[in-house]
Amino acid sequence: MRKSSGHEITQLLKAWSEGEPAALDKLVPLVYRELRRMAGRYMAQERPGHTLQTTALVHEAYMRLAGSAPVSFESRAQFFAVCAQVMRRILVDWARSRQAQKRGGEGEPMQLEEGLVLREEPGRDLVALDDALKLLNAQDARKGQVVELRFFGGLSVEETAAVLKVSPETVTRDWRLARSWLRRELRWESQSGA
Amino acid sequence: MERERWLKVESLYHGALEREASERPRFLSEACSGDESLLREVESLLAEEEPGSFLGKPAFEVAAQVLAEDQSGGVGTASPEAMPGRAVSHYRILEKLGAGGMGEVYRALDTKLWRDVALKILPKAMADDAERMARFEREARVLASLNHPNIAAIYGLEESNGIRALVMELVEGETLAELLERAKIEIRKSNIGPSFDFRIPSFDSLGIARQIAEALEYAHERGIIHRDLKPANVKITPEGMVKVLDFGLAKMLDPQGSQSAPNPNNSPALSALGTSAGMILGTAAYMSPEQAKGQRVDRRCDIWAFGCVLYEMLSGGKAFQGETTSDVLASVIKSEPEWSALPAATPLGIQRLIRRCLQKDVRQRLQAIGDARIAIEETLGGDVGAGLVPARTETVTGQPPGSPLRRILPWAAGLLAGALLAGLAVWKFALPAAQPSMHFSAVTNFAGVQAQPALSPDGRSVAFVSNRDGPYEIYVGLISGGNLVKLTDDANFKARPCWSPDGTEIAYGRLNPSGIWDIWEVPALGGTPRRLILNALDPAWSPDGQTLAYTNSATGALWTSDVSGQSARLIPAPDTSDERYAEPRFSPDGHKLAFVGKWYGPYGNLHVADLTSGKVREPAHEETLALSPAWSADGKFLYFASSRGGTMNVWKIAATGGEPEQITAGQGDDAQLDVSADGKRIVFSTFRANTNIVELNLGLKTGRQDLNPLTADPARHQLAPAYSPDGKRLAYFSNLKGSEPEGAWMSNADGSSPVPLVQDKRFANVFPHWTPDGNWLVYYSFASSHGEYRRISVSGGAPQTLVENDGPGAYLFDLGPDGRVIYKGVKNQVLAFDLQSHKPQTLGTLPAGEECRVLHSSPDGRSVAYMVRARGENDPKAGLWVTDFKNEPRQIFRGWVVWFARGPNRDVYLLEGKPDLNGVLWKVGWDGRGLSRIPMPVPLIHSYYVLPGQNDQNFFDVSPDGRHLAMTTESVLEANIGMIENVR
Repeated sequence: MRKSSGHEITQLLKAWSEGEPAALDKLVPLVYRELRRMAGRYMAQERPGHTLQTTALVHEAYMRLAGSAPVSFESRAQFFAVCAQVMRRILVDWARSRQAQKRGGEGEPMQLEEGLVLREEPGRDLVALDDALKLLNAQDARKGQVVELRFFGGLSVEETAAVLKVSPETVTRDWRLARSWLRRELRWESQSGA
Repeated sequence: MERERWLKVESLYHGALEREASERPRFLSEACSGDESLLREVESLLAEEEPGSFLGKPAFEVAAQVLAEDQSGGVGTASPEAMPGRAVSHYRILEKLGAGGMGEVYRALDTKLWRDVALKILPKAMADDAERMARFEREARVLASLNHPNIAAIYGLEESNGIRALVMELVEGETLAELLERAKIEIRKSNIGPSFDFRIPSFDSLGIARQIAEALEYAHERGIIHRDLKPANVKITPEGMVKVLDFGLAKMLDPQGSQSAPNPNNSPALSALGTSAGMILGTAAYMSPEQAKGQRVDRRCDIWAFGCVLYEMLSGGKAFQGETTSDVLASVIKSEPEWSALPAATPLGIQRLIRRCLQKDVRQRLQAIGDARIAIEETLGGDVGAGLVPARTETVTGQPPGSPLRRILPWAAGLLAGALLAGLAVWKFALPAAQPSMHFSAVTNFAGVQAQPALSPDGRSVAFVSNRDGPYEIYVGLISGGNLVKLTDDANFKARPCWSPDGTEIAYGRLNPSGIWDIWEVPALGGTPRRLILNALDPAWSPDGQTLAYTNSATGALWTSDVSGQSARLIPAPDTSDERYAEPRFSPDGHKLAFVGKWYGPYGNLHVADLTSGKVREPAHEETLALSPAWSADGKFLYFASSRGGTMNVWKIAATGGEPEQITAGQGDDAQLDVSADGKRIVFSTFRANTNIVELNLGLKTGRQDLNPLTADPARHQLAPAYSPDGKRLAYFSNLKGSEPEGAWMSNADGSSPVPLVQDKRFANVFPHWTPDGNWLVYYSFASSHGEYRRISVSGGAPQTLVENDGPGAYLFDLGPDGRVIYKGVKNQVLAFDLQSHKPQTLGTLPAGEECRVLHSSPDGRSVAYMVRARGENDPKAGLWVTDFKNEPRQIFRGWVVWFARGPNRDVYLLEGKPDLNGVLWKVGWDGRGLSRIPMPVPLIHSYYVLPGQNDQNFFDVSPDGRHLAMTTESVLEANIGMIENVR
């Protein structure tokens, strides 16, 4: 079962990388299922706030997804990049559905637990971040990718550098500017909105 | 924005960040040359340049909770079913333990202390009522102060995500209600037929009652009433220890918070316990008549409930019963219990006790629960059963697990045998040949520090150190109370008094102006102190009064000599990783010496040296901190303080090794203990201190002491601040008090937004230093045997090992101004390690015997400043030295330097120690010129908790603009002396 799903995922990833957008729609539930399983384990066993463990877990999830089937991508790094996109999509879809619920008068306000994402701005949420990230993408695509890989994909500076084929120093600089830029964007958004 | 302009923004942004904060405005205005919008764009981005925790953790961490909860389809709110897996603050909810009107109780994992706790989630209606919560919080604080082995501790109140929860000690085991129920079932089964297989529950009614009485007595002495004592609130641990749960909660949960209520249905316990009929019924049966009537209650309502519980344990039935709550309440108010249900074999003293507890008129009732304890102890201590059972070796924890001795319910035995005579025999069998129970009391209860108690040889007096009049002096007082005698009056800091075996003299350590210790003695009845041993502290007298054991103040090695310092003998160091040895204690026969080996931070081990063979052994290896060994009267056991349970408590271990046994339990740090010569009495000090980071405003011209706290988490120690190169952030290391290893943290320069960057539960990661670009922290990690230097990106990610030490490491290191070279001092060698070429290099060697533990490289990286500690009084070498390893080292400051730091403008800031612990701050140029005193008194950390002699704890750093100084300080929350009598 796992073998065939691994194979299926590989096929989908390949299709998607070859420019078939629909493949991503099929990918998401598969990746989601695996991430959910890993999340359960993480919640049960891991200490919160332990970045190293989290990253390792995400990687494990990715590797399980790839299964034993040969990955036809150039590198492991590229595969991570796809997973980062899937992760982003899952999280943002979840956030949007929660926000819709809220507008419908049900559920809790859409806030992230203890501001783990935006500790200093606990009122902000993933949807706003996603929107801001799209703007950043338009401004400077590589910086957008750095954020996607680092934040949504859980990749280290070095791994991000490998995916983007730039130096780790460049990633560090991009990451720094991108965070300043996004923070400013979210602040403006929160001041003008509401 | 067009590409070209964006690239410009980017380059200016990074260009500005590469410069000192003070240089940025000029750089930007020049670079933008009048382009206002460009300037604003870059400035607005720089204003957000506080990476901190923003996006600092991968989304998966947030996602994990969401995803994990999504197992059943939807993401729930805080409904009870959805609780497991959720986090309340740093508690991870594991499973539901029970429910009641006062809220659900869950087993939860404390992810900081890594222990299981009980979380009582408060009802939403209550959590949302601000006034009620304020009162609840106040009372939770009072309850959290209860510290008794028979009371389940309250750790605190937590709030997160709109959930309020009371955090309590998790007590494993059955409740008394469950135990009683089980016993009844087994008896019913046994009536079905004699061949039916059943096991007699092991049970010790009077032992349990005595422990309940002790819990109540302790709380009543502090003015705290339980108000809802019943079998369901009493737990018996698998070890036989009684823990009374939910102390005072009934009152806290009472919506009115009033002492009285107009009618029974509003009585506090009833309304608190909610709507479940069974619950009310269960509570009503133990309710005193005044509670049932809704009248004002006092501690005598607990005495009533105690009587009900004791009656039920002995008779097997409730004292007051009824079909409905009102029937039960009516019975409480009007009826008498079925006295004949008590086994006839019940000793008269106990029968009388129960009758006195169950007097309906409060004025006729037993007035103090202590009298109940005495009555039980008298019964247990009588000759009933003597010779039938082996003597008990302990009293508080009851029956040790695995003991063949089983105690049974007397009434159960009576029913089983069907004959009163048999009941009598079993009753006798059930009684232990008792000894009086352990008793805790306070010896001192003053403001300030009262610490390091030492019992006189006759056990009647206690000598201790106190700062009740300002300076730290030696005091003596009688245990039974009365006036205190101040024996010393010289303002110098003192430590560890110790009585001569004939009780005439008290020896103690005294700090001198060179920052080292001497041992002094003073007549116990008062007189002129005289100096006994130079350069030593922690005295211990041998039982024959001929020999002293002590620690060399400079080297930390352990010595013995006669009282005049002759015939000195070195105790061989058992472990090279120890930094100091301390707290020696001779065994009662004088042949052995117990002492503590201490290594970095709150870690230390017990050792026992055989003075004849010279062999040293470790009774138990501690991954935590062990302190203050004290011998039992027979020399077979050691009492000691250990943090193995999370906080420091008193433990006991066989001197030859074995499993330690816990004697005290509580939140404070019980340490510094002493045992009386007869072994029956232990004095100890409970020390609660907090290590914090404060900021000193160097811009103030006056001598005003202005310590602005930057860290304020009372649950954590926070040490060794380091300013980021831009001055906007601080790195430091921190741990949760107790046994959590230290981890590297980062916050804003004002202390806000603290985030852990490195936290590993296996080993400590300490002394973070910033790289010049502000992107990395380089720190010392205890990950491998000799330690290693690691780095971590301030934006997160995994730690990276830079260099693993192959020889002795040094956690007090310096990162050179270019961020490439790690400087460290190992004994008298100054070593440098180039992180890029990976080349170690010996920069220079100081004269033999000199140490350079604390060092800094100069701003140009060409020279090194290092601290030399005095090796004797007025050692001219003591002070701060600078060397370029080409010319002779230059002394730029002479005296006792506690700590120093590199400041801006080629200045060095240093803290000079004074023996009364009032430090003096100085600023001096790297070349020794321009010495100036900063008129600002700085209290030195006296480290009663860490061992004295380690006086370099005031780690500080100067902000890049030279306007602020962040320093480690210690505030004592409480330090008083307690006593345990009838020690087991």
